Amino acid sequence: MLTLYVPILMLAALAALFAGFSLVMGALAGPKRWNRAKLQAYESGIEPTPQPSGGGRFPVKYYLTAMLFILFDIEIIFLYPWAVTFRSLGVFGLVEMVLFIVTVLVAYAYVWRRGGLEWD
Amino acid sequence: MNAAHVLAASTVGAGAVVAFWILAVISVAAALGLVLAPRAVHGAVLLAVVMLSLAVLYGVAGAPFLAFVQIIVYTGAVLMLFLFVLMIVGVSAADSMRETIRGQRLAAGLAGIGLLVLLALVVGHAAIGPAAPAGSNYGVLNVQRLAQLIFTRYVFPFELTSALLITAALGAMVLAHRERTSPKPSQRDLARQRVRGDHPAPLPGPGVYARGDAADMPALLPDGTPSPLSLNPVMARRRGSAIRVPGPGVPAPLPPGEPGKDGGPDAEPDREGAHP
Repeated sequence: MLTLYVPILMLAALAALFAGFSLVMGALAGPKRWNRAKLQAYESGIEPTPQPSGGGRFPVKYYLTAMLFILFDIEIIFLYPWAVTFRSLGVFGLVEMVLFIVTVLVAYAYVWRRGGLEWD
Repeated sequence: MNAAHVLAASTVGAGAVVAFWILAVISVAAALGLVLAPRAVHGAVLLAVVMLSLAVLYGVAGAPFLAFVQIIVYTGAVLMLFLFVLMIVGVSAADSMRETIRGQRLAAGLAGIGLLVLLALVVGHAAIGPAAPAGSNYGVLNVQRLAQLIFTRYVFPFELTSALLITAALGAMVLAHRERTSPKPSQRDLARQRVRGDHPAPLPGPGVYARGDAADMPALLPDGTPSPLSLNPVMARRRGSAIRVPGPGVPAPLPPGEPGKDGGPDAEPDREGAHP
């Protein structure tokens, strides 16, 4: 049973190894010739302004983006078992998934037409 | 120990027990840190650790679908929503520790004790009774069996889920969307506004300075004096800047006949507009 997860474990180990190797080699082998400008935070050539008190607040518009992302994330969750059993479900499965996706797209179209996706 | 025995009984193999103990230590430590962390962002990151180890536990217990849902929906989406809400509220916004509702602490303590009793009962019941029944619905065929149930027997609730998602989108729109009351200014409007404003031509560009940031060096006017217009007033007021600008609305030396006029859209160089 657990042998199913061996590839995932190997991938995780590989990723961790790569990250650790890059950090260590960068610290060991990289040249360290710093000056004042290099040590500053890079903000597209602009001198970074000090953080506002309270950490700064983001516009509430991002909430809509996050919510839409969750919507399609949940759609993906249903697509996964559907894709696994696609052949055995046949045309019936295809039709019900199309129905599901169309209904979710109604929400998307609503947000789009109300102007929820326009940034300004 | 009980839980480990349950796990060992339900899924055979020493690997599961080892995984359980490693994940138990990690997730309990992360959960304690989540409760005790003074900053909400650290709490959210530790919550991600708890959720990920829970996902691995699901996988070990023979429920791969639940494990993937835990990672994709909870760690990926819900936690991201938590972080977004934290950013919207303000990263370092802190709750007041003073009691504002009378008897709140007492009620919270009682509810906590009740939850503890409930959890103890559930865990005790699970440890005494049979654990997750081992069968064809668990393990390798988990996803297939789930899919057959979702898409045949429970197809109507499945389709209803999409209605639930529509409700979520509607709610987000109601909460976060602000209707535009005036038409969006077109490019033609913006151009006209600019030509009629104080500075039809672009503002002077910043000077170049090899070891500092280019944007905090003023451009030089033809007579050699630094131009205050070429500097962002936010930066000019910072310590160590090469030029002093008294305020955001400085009458520029360039248009000589308009003292104190400060209304144009580009009277101040826009900080965000300077980003590439």
